[in-house]
Amino acid sequence: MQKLIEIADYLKNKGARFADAREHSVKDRTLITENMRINSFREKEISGIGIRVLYENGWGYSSTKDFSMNGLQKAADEALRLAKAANSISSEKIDYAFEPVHLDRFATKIQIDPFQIDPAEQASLMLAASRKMLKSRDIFKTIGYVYFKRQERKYASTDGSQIETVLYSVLPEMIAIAKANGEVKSRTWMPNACNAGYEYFKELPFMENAERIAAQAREHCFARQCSEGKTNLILDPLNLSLTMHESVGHPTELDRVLGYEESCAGRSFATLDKLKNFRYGSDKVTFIADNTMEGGLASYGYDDEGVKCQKWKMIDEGILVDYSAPRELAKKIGKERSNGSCRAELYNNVPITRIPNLYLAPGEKILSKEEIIADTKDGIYIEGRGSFSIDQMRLNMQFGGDAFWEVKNGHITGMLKDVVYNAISYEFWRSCDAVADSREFEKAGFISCGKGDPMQIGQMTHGASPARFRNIMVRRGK
Amino acid sequence: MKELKKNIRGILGKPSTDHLVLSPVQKDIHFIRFSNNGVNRENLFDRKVETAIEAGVNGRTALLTIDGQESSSVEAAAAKARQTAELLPEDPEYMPPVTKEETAGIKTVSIVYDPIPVEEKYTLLSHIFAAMKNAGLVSAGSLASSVTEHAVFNTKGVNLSHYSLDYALNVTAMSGKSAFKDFYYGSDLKKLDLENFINNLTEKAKLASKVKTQDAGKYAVILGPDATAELLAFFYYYAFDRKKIDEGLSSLASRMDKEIAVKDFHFFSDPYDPDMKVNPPFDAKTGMPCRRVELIKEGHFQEAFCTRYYAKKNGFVPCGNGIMNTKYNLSVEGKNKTLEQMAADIGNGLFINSFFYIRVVDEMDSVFTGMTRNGVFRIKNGKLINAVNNFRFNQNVFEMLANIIDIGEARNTEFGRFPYLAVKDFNLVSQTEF
Ligand SMILES: [Zn+2]
Repeated sequence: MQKLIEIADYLKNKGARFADAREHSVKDRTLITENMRINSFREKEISGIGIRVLYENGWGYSSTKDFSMNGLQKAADEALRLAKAANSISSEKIDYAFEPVHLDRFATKIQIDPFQIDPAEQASLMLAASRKMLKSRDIFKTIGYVYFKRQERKYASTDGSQIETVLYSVLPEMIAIAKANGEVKSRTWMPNACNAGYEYFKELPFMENAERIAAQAREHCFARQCSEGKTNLILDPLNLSLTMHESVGHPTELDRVLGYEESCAGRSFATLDKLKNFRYGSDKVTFIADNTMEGGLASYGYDDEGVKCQKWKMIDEGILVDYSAPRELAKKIGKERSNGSCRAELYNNVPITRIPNLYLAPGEKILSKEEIIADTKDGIYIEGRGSFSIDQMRLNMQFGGDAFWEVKNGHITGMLKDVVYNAISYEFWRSCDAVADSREFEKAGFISCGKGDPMQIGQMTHGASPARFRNIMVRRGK
Repeated sequence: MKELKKNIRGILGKPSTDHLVLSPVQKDIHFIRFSNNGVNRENLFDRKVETAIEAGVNGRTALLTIDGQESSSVEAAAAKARQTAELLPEDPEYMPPVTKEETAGIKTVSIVYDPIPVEEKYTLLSHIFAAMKNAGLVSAGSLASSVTEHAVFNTKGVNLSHYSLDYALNVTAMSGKSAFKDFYYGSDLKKLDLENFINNLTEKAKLASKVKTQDAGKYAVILGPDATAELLAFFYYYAFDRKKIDEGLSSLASRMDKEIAVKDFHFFSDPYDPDMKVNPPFDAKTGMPCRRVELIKEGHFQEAFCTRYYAKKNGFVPCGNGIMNTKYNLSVEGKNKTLEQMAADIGNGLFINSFFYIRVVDEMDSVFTGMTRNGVFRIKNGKLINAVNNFRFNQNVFEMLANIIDIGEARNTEFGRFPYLAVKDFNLVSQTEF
């Protein structure tokens, strides 16, 4: 930590308005099984120090793996050189929001470090489930996937903050693929990806889900073709997690709103003039951002510019009320403080605006998924994540799912296939007329949100209770 | 890398296992990102130094990647990889390391440098910003320069090193909600005719700002090289895996003997194309040589990619080590015809510059969805007359390949070299609001 403080001071003495240094180590393990074989076992370790500097109105960034003071100074000089070059052709004044000084440590609460466990033991859980699925009728392929990650950060800035964090994340997944009736269909079990230790993975109910997804993959092969046209959708938390990620999480990133992501991730329809007056959804739709959530993938303690993690409302009873903002852009729109939404994947990545842990608040009225279905005359119930696509302003969106059931006169009547739903994002959220209560709330983590240029991968947790959407266009994904 | 190369014999000579593969990569990147006519996003130097270490013991392998190349850490990681491999069950698809004989024909490029000084790149961008401001446009994009060395060393005598120098310039010019994007990918930034680049960008971005509403539907379209490249790269990724084809999991499984494209559509992968040097001509992890692979020729499927194991098991001529190591060397053969000439021939339809957010909808039929982006223009009486709103497409690629009516000149894109492609009945299913 001492060296990080010194390097921030070094840059301050060279005329920097602001500088921070982040020592960032990441270790991950990926284990993939295919049928009864370990298809791939990979481990990766990456560590180094990233240095960010603001010189007048130019940002510069450089990183190094040389932890000596000489090595750090060299990287600091490089970052400063780029900041000066950017400043020489800068087009706007740069400022950044105030953040109190933090001297703190934060760590994910874990019992067992996954990297201390023999990979063969980890694979055995998935292989046992695989054996069970392969015995199931018409299942001809199974895939097991688990990803463990440990991140360690030390952070110091010219503000005077000194922060240390240690995070552990787990992402499990299991897929059954069936071939029958001239069709190939899969079914995925995707338990919540979260910040946790190995104990979380070990206790997951692999066997009972193996049986279920194998049977449903086969059933999907015999499913009826869906019809095209407008209908009512009842979506499970996992399906909603992807839809909210794309149509609420990304449009409320302030860098997109202000046009800074134009060349890559794109912009947003949720522009500043809409703040606090735009009807983003029905009054049933409230979105909470919460980077203090226990086990949330974006629960980092502090973000990568030294801002303490927070909880705030993004959409309140349907009205757009806030954004995810890093320090520079928070200041730009006149906010007192950033809400701690600026993170980097690795030491050599510049911290960028990131979606927080973000969830659809459960309905306040006592209401179950079964009651929503019983109250639906015509519709489709969808579980899981499928195909997903949305335009760069986050308006025209199209989503599939992992499994689909027809709802007729309040009952599930059988499985459907090839369902995709297509809507304009705010019209979709405006059509929400029922959200189940907190008993059915489920979290669904994301560990592969691609953004930035060069591309970085981000992680965050979403969540919802099952909800209903009226009159949504369904197409045949054929 | 230098120190590792010097000590390589010592590391590989240790008697603990005869299966050790080291694949170091060193990549020096200068990346400048800009938006709102200024350098205000990622602006960085990055030196990526990684070594992947594969150790095999008794038919088991483990792969560890470390972010360094010091001999001592590589040796320690090799020992750990070996110990980890011992813990794993025996792999029925185990493959020993590639041999020196197998790599004999590989032609590599030795050391290259980026000849353009750092500050000169900001000057280049300042010209673009000034021109955009003058034209009342706002630019966003990036300029990336990278020098990469890929190497593979193993206990069977393989000793490969390959350098590449790559530039990527992307500029989107905006006017309100409308935009047009142009790009340069290649190994010689001096070949970029900046004046022409700026003129084309300005002219098209101005045309893009005059947006008229157009209904969704099936249209005759000309896809720009960027649009062609992205859609066909997705198609390639999902369909051209030999194992998936044999298992009935690829859309090609039921189309092996059928005519799947018009006769003059020629899709291939060539690791020795002089203008596309992003990938080394060998698999960066194993050293297995890549070769030219014909994917679709004369309307028919020709060949697909597979792993070394799968090639050996089935008697295929190996072509690298699976689908991912060739994804940037793809090409569709172009013809000597400009966009303007193609528009004149097509008469009426749409020109689509780029796509965005393409995803597979039905893998077994290669149906993809996505949005148009950065310029959709109406073609009327053989000319681009105005911009129209963006659309979502849901398109079966086989139907598209059968509906090709014209092929134009090819350009280097992010995914390889792809041409303008004129296609009838392209399926635009819905509009968006801009
Ligand atoms: Zn995302």
